[in-house]
Amino acid sequence: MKGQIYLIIAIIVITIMVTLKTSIDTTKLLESKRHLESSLEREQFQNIKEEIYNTVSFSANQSQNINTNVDNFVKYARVKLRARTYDLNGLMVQTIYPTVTSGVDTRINVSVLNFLGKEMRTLNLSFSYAPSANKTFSSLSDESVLDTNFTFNTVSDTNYTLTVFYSTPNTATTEVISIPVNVGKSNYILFTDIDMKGNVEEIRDKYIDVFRLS
Amino acid sequence: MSKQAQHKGLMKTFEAVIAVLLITTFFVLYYSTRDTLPEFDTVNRQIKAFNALKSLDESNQLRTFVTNNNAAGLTGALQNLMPANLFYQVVICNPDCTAPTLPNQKATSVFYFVGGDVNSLSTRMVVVYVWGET
Repeated sequence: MKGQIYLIIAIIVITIMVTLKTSIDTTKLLESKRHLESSLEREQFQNIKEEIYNTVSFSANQSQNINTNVDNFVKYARVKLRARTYDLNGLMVQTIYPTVTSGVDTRINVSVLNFLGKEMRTLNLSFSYAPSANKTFSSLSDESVLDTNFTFNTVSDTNYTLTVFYSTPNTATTEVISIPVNVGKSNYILFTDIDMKGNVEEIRDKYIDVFRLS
Repeated sequence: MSKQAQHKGLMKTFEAVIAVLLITTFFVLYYSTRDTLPEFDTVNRQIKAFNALKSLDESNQLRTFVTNNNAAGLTGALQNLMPANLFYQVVICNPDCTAPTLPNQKATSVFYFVGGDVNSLSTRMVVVYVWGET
């Protein structure tokens, strides 16, 4: 053993350096960072959904216009999210009817908010009480609201369906919304199809909430 | 000193130089292309701030502060929920957000929506800017 000891030490040092570097798994670290960012975005998405729900509840309690307040909330959230490079898109269908009296015509109001991020070329609404009375609309721009109504007459509790067909330049979609009708009650039914594109993930949810107003 | 001893010394020096060159060359070539390690500070700060806001929301305090536009009250309430090593600044967007003057370039922010409360229906967004060591 003479000067070779230096070469042996060099080889040992290099081996330690290689071991150190390979022990740091960059891919796993990136994955866990992405997981954290993704879970935060999911929480933020949940926050938006809960506040839509709260807007309906608070509006109903304060006898305010639920449709307008919900539309305004969504539009506000969209603007604020866009400033943070998030995208919030979707479709919202709000239906509301006053207290139903047995055997008396009741008007159900339907409000559609297009926030798909693109123009809705056609929109067709069909209410199961009178399917022949379906209504077709065209060219609904992004963030526009369409208000219309149908009439029904029932002597007992029942379930109607509202079929919403809409097309955009590249899609055609049909949604079937169940409308529970209870004699002596007033209901608000909210159909939401919402999609949030955050910085790491795109989250989408589609659901129906029924609120008993009286 | 004999010629043989002089030769041995030279060889020893030569091998030491080769060893040093070997390590240096390897170090430069191997570590110059090293991947950048991901940083977790930003997302950790955001999660801590979001959880603090969520906790205040769950205890029905957040809505009151936000609808009353009480940023100072909200800042005080967050104090018990945020780690002591983190600094933060609260902005209530009503409806627009005023950009705060932050002392640190590495500050990050997190948002939280509030759709009014039982007495008032003013949609607002809260932004918490956070900086400091996590």
